[in-house]
Amino acid sequence: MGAETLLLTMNLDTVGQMSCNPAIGGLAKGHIVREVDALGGEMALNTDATAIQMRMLNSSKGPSVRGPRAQCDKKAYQFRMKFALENQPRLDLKQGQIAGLVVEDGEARGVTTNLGVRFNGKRIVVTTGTFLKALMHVGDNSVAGGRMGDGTSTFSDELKALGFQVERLKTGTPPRLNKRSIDFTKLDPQHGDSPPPTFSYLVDTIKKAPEDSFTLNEWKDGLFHVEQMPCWITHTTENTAQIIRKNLSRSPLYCGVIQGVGPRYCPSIEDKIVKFPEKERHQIFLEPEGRHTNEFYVNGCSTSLPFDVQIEMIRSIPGLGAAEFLRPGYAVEYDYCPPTQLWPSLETKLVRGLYFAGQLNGTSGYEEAAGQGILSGINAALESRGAEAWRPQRHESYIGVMVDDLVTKGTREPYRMFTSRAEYRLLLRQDNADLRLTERAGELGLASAERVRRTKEKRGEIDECRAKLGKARRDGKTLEDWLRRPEITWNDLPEEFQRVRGEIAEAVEADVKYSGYIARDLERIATLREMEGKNIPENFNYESVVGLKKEARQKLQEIRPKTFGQAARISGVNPSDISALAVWAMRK
Amino acid sequence: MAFEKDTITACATPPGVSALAMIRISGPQAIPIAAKLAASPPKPRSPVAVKVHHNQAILDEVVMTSWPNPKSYTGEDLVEISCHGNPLIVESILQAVCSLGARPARPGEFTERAFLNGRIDLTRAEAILDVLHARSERALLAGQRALAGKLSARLMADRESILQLLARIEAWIDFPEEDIQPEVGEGFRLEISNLLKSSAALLATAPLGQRLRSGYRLVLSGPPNAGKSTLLNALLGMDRALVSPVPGTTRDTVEESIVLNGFPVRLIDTAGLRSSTDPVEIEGISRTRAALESADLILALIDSTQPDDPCAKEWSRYGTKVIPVLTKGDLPRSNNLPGLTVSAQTGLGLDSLKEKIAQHLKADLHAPGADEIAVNARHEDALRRVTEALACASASLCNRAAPELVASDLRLALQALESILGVGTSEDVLDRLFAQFCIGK
Repeated sequence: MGAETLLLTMNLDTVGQMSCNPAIGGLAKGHIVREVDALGGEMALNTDATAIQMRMLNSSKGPSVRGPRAQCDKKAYQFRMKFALENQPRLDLKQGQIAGLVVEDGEARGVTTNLGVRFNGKRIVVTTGTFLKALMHVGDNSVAGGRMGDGTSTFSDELKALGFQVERLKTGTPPRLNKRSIDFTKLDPQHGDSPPPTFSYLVDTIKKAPEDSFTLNEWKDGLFHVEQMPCWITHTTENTAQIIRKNLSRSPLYCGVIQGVGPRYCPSIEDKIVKFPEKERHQIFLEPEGRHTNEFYVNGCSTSLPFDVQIEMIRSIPGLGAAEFLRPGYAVEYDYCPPTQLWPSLETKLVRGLYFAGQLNGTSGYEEAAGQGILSGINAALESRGAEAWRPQRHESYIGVMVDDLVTKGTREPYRMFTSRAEYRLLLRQDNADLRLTERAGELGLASAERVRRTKEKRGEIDECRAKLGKARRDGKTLEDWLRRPEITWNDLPEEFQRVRGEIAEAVEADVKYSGYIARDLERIATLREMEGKNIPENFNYESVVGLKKEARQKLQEIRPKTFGQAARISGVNPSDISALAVWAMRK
Repeated sequence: MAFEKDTITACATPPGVSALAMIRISGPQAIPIAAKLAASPPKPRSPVAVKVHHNQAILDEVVMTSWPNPKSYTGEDLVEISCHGNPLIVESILQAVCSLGARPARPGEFTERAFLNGRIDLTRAEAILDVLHARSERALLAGQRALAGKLSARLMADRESILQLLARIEAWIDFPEEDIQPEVGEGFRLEISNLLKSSAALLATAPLGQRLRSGYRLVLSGPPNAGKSTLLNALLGMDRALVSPVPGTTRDTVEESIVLNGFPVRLIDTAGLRSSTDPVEIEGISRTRAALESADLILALIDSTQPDDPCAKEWSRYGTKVIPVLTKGDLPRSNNLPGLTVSAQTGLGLDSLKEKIAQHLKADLHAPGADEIAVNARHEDALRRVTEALACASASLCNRAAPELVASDLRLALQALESILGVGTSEDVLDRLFAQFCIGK
């Protein structure tokens, strides 16, 4: 987009480091990665280039709820990403820990580092991950730090002093085991899909350069080549549960040490045993962290129990009887700023020119963070040159759903995307992210001309194929009507359609299967559209509106919605409040 | 993608009996709907007297005015229908309008559209909102509030069932890697079909709801000078209808609302039934017949001082909804016909008559499931959408359609239910999902 940009990081060696599981994607998260790619982001390319296992989740269910997931080589991912950053035109990469913000007249002007260096900038995006006032717990041992081996930051005190509300969240990570100590004969393998489902719309541009040891996979002879490694499945036992129950009093989660709120979708193993006592066993995935490492990630076993209990517990699991720990699991508590303090552009309401993205906004890491990262970057660039911010809508992208949820409703646990959060889920498929976003990104100056060209070409092919289906007939019905029936698939269509390339067939089939439902969704979007287009002035005084209920007035004052549509989605604001508001907004 | 707004309709005047009522229709379908009702396209911006037809029946004679966009109250195509101020006429026209493609407006929606299209005049809009608030309070009688409470308890239970179903199917969709087994097979289908039965049963109470809302139609009928107006006044306890000893004084139907032993009742006095050559009276008698047809209960008045009942044949057409009443019970009797003897003059038999009427209405109200009742047209519309969406979900399940489509139907049903209840956030499904299933890969 042409903006001169500086990236400051606490530690250059850990740029792009995957703190938790080296896996990208999954349901809804995979959709976001595809959207980031459609906008011109790097995440999907980096994932494709460094994946060691790729699968399409939910392939037996409908097209809008399929999501690609990749297990990556942790180090290859990080190093390739760092290299991409280093080679990005107009991007400066520097190591430096932020100590303060320079704010003048309510506007951000720059940052200072702990070495006293000042960097000036028109727009500042803050992405702190889990590092603010971070505290790691293993049993009763608590150490400051956002990731084992790394430091912490007191920058949240600076934010508090500026007037930001700061709250506490908790997340956790499981132990890492040595591959040589695992008895794989007692485990069930889980293999990748063949051919591997990829993330990037430009996957065919991934080639290994002669000296490039971080690009593991490449496009060759019309195929994407990935040497896939299996993951392994095992289960906890009754013995595991007993060990955990016996030691609950030594868990910082259960003896009141941890104050932060953890995610319900990613509970620690001790949480699972306590909250679901009737469940006899819990599934554990053993996932390789890379091709050139023996580290295995114990997925499903996040814990903050004391180290000795962790060892006893892990060794009670089949296949792990002699497991050797490389690193223990731990819980981490960190500061975040409730995201209702942001405009939908991700700019803070308090300080102009300051944007927040990622775990600072109370979301989970990786994909959700990437979605906010690219949006805040786009808007910082747009607004730095006086252009209007881009606000992606709920029916256009998961990024739109996420940001609207965050700034309108806030979050009290680490926010993770689920497909069920998107009311227009049927429109937001992972395969059509380019059709939804790339042309817009082209206008913004973000997606390359090549991306835009491909998208236009794809759209043309889809329209042409759909038109053919609508014309061709069998037994008096159009082929489109045939295909709409649940039991009919693309393979049942005549030979001519078998020659259509896979990407096009996939999109057309989905459009046809969903057509009745999509029409219903479009109708609803149309009725809501005018509400979305009607702006509310930024400094609107809700006190002056007669007829607003007290709760609605408070909520509106706090959230300060940008449009009537957003106002209507705030919990506690009723249709009658919106009507009253509509009338009084004109008084300005 | 072409976006089209939908068409809304509502009665713009306060509910209850009045000389005139006004119905508004706004949106792209407003003028085509009006053209169908009037059997000819309405003339822009000039009031025209037309008959409103629907399903081969004439609903009312009205004055219709159309206002093409953008120069209308809402800024959209708008049609105003001034009809007679009888709630039943209003209701039947609204139903006709809805069956032709409009939907009942939400409170304040006309004002909202006027604002969104930049058509609002502030002073006017405020006044309209005031009326709107005042109206909703007046409309809620104490008895209806109690009914609404029961209805909402029932709907809340249905909502909870849908949320639980959604939690199951969403768990199945969103967490394919988890070691969980949400039941989405036969049991799931069975629960949808139970919900479907529940909402269909509720929908079936709509006519009863309408009677409770607008009052039971109790028609007083009989030969001229049988004492219909006198009895009406006695039941009302005031002189509402014109009473005179000249037969045929009541040439039109006269309506009054009362609460009779706790039931809202619309007393409808009618022109006497006899053959006549006076064109005005002939018209009155034909209205009497129409009133008899649509009556919930008929008081068949028989003059006890006359030797026979000239209308006996007329009554036999209406079966059990007829209560024979022998009037002028204070005078010497001249016949042996069966019936309840009353005297409006002395008050003889009036209490027994009220009790008898109440018994008839109770039988109706105590039909199975009748204590939970769809109270108004907005509920009826929403329940129809709930029922359709559930039927769709059930069919999708049977056809082995993709689970996200079943979920989409269930969401639609949930939204429609929540539009009645005025509640709903997307987190509710996730709350139930995480409470029920151990998620945590």
